[in-house]
Amino acid sequence: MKRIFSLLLVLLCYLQIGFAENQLKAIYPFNMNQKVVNEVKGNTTLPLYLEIFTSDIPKGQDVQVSVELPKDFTALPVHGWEKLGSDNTIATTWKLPSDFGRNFDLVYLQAQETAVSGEKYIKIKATAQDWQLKKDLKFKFVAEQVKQNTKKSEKQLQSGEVVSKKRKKVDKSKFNWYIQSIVLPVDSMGIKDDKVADGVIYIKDTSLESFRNRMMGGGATNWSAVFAHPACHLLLEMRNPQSDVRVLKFEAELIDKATGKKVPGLCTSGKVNLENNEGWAGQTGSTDSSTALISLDGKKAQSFILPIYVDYLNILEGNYSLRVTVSGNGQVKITELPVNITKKHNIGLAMVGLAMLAFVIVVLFSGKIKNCIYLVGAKGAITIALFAAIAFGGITLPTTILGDFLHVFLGPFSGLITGVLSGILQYLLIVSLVVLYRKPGVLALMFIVRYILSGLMFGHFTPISILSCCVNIVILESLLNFSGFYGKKDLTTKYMLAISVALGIADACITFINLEQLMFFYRLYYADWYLALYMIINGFLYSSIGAWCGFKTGSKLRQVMGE
Amino acid sequence: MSVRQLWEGSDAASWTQKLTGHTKLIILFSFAVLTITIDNPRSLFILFTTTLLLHVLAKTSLYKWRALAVLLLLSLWGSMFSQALFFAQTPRTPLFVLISPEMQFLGPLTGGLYVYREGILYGAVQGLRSASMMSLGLLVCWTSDPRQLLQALMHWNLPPQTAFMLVTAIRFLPVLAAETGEVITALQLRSDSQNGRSSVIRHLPYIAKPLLARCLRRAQTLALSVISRGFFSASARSLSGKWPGKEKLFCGCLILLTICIVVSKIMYLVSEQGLYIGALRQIYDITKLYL
Amino acid sequence: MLKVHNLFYRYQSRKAFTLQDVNLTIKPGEMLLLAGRSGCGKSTLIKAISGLLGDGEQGELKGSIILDGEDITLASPEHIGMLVGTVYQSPDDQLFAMTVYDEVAFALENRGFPDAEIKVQVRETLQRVGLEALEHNSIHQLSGGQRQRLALASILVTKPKLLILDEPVSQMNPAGVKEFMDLLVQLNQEAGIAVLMIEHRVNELYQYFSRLAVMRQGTIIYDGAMEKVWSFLAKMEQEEATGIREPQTVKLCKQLGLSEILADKEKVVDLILQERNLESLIEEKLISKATSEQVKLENVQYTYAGMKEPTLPDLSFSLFTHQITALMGFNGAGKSTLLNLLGGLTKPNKGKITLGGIDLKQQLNKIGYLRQEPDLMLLADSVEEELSWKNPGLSAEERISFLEKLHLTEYAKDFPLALSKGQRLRVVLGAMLAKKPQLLLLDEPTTGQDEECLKEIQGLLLDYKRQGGSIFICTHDVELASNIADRVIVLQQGKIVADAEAKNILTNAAILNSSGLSVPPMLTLSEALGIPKCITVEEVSAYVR
Repeated sequence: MKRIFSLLLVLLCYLQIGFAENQLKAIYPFNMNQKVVNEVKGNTTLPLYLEIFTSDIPKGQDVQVSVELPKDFTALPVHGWEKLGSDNTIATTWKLPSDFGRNFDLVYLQAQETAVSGEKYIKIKATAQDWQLKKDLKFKFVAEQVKQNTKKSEKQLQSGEVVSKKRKKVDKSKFNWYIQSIVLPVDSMGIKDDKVADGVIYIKDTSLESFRNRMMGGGATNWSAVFAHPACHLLLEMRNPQSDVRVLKFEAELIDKATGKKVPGLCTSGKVNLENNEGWAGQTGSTDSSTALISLDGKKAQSFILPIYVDYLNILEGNYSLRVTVSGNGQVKITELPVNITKKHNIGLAMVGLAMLAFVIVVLFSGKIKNCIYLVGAKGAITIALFAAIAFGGITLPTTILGDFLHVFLGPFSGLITGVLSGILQYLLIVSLVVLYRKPGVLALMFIVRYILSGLMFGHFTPISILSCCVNIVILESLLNFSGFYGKKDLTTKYMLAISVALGIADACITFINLEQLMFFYRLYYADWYLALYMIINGFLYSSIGAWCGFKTGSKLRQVMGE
Repeated sequence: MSVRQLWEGSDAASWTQKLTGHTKLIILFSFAVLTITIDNPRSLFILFTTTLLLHVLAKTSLYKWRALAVLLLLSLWGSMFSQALFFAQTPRTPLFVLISPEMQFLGPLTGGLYVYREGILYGAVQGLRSASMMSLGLLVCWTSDPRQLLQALMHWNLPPQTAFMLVTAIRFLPVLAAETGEVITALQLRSDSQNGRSSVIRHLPYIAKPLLARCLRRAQTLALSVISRGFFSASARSLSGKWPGKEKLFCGCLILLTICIVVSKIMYLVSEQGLYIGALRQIYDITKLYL
Repeated sequence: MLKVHNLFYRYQSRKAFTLQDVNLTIKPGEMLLLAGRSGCGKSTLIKAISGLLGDGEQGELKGSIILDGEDITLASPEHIGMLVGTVYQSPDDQLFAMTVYDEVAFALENRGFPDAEIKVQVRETLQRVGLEALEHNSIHQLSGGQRQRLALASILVTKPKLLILDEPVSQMNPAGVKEFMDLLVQLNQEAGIAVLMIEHRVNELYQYFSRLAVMRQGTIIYDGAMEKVWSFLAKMEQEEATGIREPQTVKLCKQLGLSEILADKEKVVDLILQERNLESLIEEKLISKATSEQVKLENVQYTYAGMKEPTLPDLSFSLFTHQITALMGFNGAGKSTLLNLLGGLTKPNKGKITLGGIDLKQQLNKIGYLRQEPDLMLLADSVEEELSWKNPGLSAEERISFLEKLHLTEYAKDFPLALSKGQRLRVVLGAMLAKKPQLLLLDEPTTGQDEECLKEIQGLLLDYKRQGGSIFICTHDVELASNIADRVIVLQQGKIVADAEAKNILTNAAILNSSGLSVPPMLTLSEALGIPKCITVEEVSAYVR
């Protein structure tokens, strides 16, 4: 029985050894695209990829890895590897972990000038205490001049003739890869947005990230997603005159312009421990730099679109130098370019805040606005009411109905047509009214009457419309007050021209605030250029024209006022 | 159907006409607050359908339904169109290229203009907010005399002089419209070309002066008339328009509900910033799921 | 009741006093008619009495105004408003509320009357002016006459002791004037309210007032019995026109140089019979006949959208060069519709309209159309620009000549809308005539105009006719029609019920009465004199030796 049991035990042990699987993987020349090339041209430097995969080994053990290189091939120095004696062999020792393990490394090999074309072999041997794995790699080496020659060269290659002796000496200045140019920022497709100035990195303001996230209809803030989203991309153009196939390390760091020291602000893609949800802000990868691996695939020119990750919690706005370091096979290429870090603030929220402030101001000054009725008398009050009625009938009514119809054909650009009314006619009425009754509060009264009128007639009693009305009142009344309009003795043409332009600018601001409010409350998106278009045409242009016409009309109407 | 008919509320169900202006304005404002507070598309849709249901209950006539439908569709279309162009979330799928980034001048200026599929859907959902307000706003207008709403505003301390200005503005709206038509007719009659005789648009720039001059003359007469009738001695006083207790109670509940929703939303947002109160967990859940 | 004593007033913007030493007294229950040219200071006097000179004005006021024993010279308009009520020319411009009830209640609400009392008072007042059934109606649903009554009611509700009416009937047709005046007399007699009415259409109102005050250049130049004013005015006219539209009988007395100048037809008849001989037959002057057909309407039919019955069922007539045709008839007879068709503003559903033998649609620039509200037709920044508006064919010389003809040379650079009412009308008419139209359409052109302005307009139209123009004028003013029209067309329910020479129509009392038109005073006078039927002063004079 005991014998049987012992036999089973020994068998089990053998079985376990039998289950244990150790694999040696080697690829030369290695590229990140995992393509099998099996051909090396000229004296390019190419990586040899070595990997040992182990499983079910009961305990950790050392393994001796040796690589015998073909004649006239040398290995570039790599940490942990050493040349063995006079043989063209390099070796290292790897520590294999227990159970499962994967050890790998890259060794860069380069053909000497003396190397001749033909088939070459790399012999790899991994020797552990109990086992040994071997692998031979066969590849074709083509000396540099061969590719310039004709079929004759191929024949020579086949017959193993030495052609390399006739090669010209390699130009050292073109010896290896280098950074041709860097374009920043670009989008994920590598396209440069001409609206964004060179070297400007816009980063979003995350101080109200959670609030914004809810407003957008998303869930709780996923900080890892925030950190995993690149702030911008960088287009790196590499030149590779020797057509190397090589993996390089890319690193971008922020450098303080004054001190030349590295400053925090960039990071690698974010990580978060999804199992325990630790770290509300996620754990960023290597600090203070955005890193990536790039692979030269043998082309003479190659572009890389690389993400730049930002540490939102540490980055500060300002001007920096962006130091880009590309390194590999013992070479380091560094380029610096100026960058400007700009935060995208929560403009929408700020504008809503501004609008609310305007509302508070209007409420505080409501007494004065009411007193304005006494200042302008019944005739003035009725004139204001009638002007407001015209504004409602001539602006609110058609822009509400006509605007909707125009939307069908012109979409969001319909406002440029209806803006003729809301810009030109509105300011014509406003300015002619304040020319007739030059008293603070007149304009406010007209806006209030028109607002309530549209509320009574259309049901437009909404917080947005209240805020929008207050913004109009506060900005325009302030402008007229501070520009001395109410106190000026004579309204000269020159002065009124300036006022018309100022009103145009003020209306551009109002347009901006109102659109931002709309975007905030109704969660809408409008492109920056669209906002700019509206501010310039609807805001500035139409309103200035309207204000000027208003001055002309008002001046004439003053003669009608009579006694 | 004339424009005037469209704006009159005489054909609405009697209960809606009997409802005081106070109640109508409170419903309107509460809905306005709710539409900008709520994010959940389903809840937004419920709000929108509620307004339509109110139209059904108010027995909105067929031609008004038609007008409402056209306005709502146009409004939704507007929102969908704009968001289809400017949608800024990812992922987004361009359906059409309106302006290619390579196009001269406009390309670099706009960075390309595309119609995004996801934007259309997003615009439709967000458009429910303005559509709800339009639907309810029109319901209030179609079921009330402007005086009814004005009485409510005066009840809430709108100065009588301002109320007078509003009434004047409303009273003269049709008169001003007729006069505008008259000025356009005059311009057509005085035009020297065959086209000018029928065109309206080309005459628009010249309307202002005669129209505003007429306003000033009218203001003169009306001012004299109302001053002697005690315009400036009028003081704010409660008007005869009473606010029945039942309506008050309903409005109170509606305001309370609106406040609760707004507060719960704020609490939820604050909780996301770290100020989490365990006892409010159910509220957080409801807010997350429905608001 | 009212005593205005040595009143002077100067507007801040002016050097001269607008009111100069005005003295006026009105007894309780008295009715006084105040007349004078536009700009003579009538409106300023009303403002002074109503306490309204303070509203936006900082002028200089001297003298005193005593009302019901109380000095109200410097009292607030609200206070005066309880004692004095004022009704203005255009009811549309003084009614602000949306319903009849609200409008009438406004004055009481402002004075803090309890709701229950307001209701009672409003009903009572509406009953007095005959609008009790319309209490909750929208103001937009009221007719012109009803609006004027409502304007009156909104004032009467405060039970004023003095009622001031500023040209209240200037825009009414003769039937409307009679109705309104009857109501006013009734109120005066029943409630004992003193009435001060300002109006230059004295020819239509003199029979309702026993006393007339005439104002000129800020001073009251006559204040006395109605029957004695005519002689006074005849003397004054030699110095300067007073703008008063006198009755035709007065004009006749002056023309015939009778010993007395009277307004009463019977007395004038007696006077003529006493002082003059009559000729039963005179050689009729040859009236210049129309030379050629200008406009032709053939079976024109027009139906408004949504209406079952056509407004104009089937109209056919022609208009001729060198001819003024007056279109008359009740309100709603289709007169404005016909003018709009001729003006090319609307197109007939059936039938054909030609101008000079060519389809009207292609001839629209050869038509001038003066609408009822001439103010809304003024578009330019100066009078001369107005004449040249869209009129490239007008040379500088012609423009100067037109300005002279219109008596507007000194206003050439002025803003047209800032001119006086009569001047504004002349500018628009001038702009029409400057285009040398083949057909001139006029819709109630003389509404609210004083005598002098009326004469100028008539002169311009006759001048245009002499030049070969064809004029189609829509009017209620029988006197105007009899003075200038060669032909009259009477329209009833869209159909022509009479179309003949002016004299034939205007001497037919049956047609005039059935069309809501007043009978020309000269017609009844000529009948009383036993001479052939006449409609103008000139015609009657021709029979008197």
